[in-house]
Amino acid sequence: METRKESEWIFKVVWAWQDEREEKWLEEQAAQGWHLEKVAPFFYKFLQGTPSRVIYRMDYKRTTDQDYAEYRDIFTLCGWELVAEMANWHYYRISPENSETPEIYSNDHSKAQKYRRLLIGLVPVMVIFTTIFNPALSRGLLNARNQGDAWVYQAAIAFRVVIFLLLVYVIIRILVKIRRLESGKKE
Amino acid sequence: MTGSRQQDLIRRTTPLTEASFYILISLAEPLHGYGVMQKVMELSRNRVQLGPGTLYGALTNLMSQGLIEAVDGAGGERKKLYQLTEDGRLVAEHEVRRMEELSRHGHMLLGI
Repeated sequence: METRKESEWIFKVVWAWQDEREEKWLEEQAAQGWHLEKVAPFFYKFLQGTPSRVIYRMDYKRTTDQDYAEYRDIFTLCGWELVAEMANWHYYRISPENSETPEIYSNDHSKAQKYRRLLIGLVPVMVIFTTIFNPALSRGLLNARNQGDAWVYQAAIAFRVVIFLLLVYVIIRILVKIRRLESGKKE
Repeated sequence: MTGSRQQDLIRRTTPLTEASFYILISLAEPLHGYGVMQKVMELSRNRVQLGPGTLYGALTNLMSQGLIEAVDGAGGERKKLYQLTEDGRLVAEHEVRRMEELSRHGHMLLGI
């Protein structure tokens, strides 16, 4: 008899510096029998299966990098399954063989590099946001200002400031994380 | 190689992390990324475990520092083979001597 698999999409807001919390959450879902299937911005698709101990780890790597195939190979050979990829975030999982928790990073030094790659990845996002949401570049908004609908123009500026501050906050949180990881002794 | 260039290289690249040191000495003969991981586990009897992220990151770093290089595998293999460069050997030898000194001093002062 064919078993029908239940699936569900869950909405959850997770920020870029909270990847460890996200991993833990995915592991809790797996323990309850909900296994990650797909990831979209702020949405996660789970398939229902057997509750099991699964370790999830997230890594940031640009898929357009020249050495991407080599990078993927190493993870696969080490037994990590790539479950989903979203905006250069890679969701890996592994079923541990014993009580030890497998890690994709064995020291803080190399873990900090992941967040360095993430910071570089955020640069284009920063550039795109500051140009697209630049009211001075939008003719419609300039018209609104000239025709006396000043509040539309002001709202656009306010929106842009909020987005910008949010990005700055994200970058600060990631920098703090890098700093903490790199301040530890090497090995 | 001039003395000051050597000194500069050593200052720039050391001390190596334990992971990087093991990767470097494993590459005295050409190996694939996965081969490096197996060799390191075998050498250290599973004490030094290299996660794929760490292994990959260390290979990239060592490569950009010029301590290892990619070589073409026999028969046009798809996977990259890595091996130690001259600079890499120099750095690894320097680290071995440094750790020998650490160990000697430890023995001396602790009386073991």
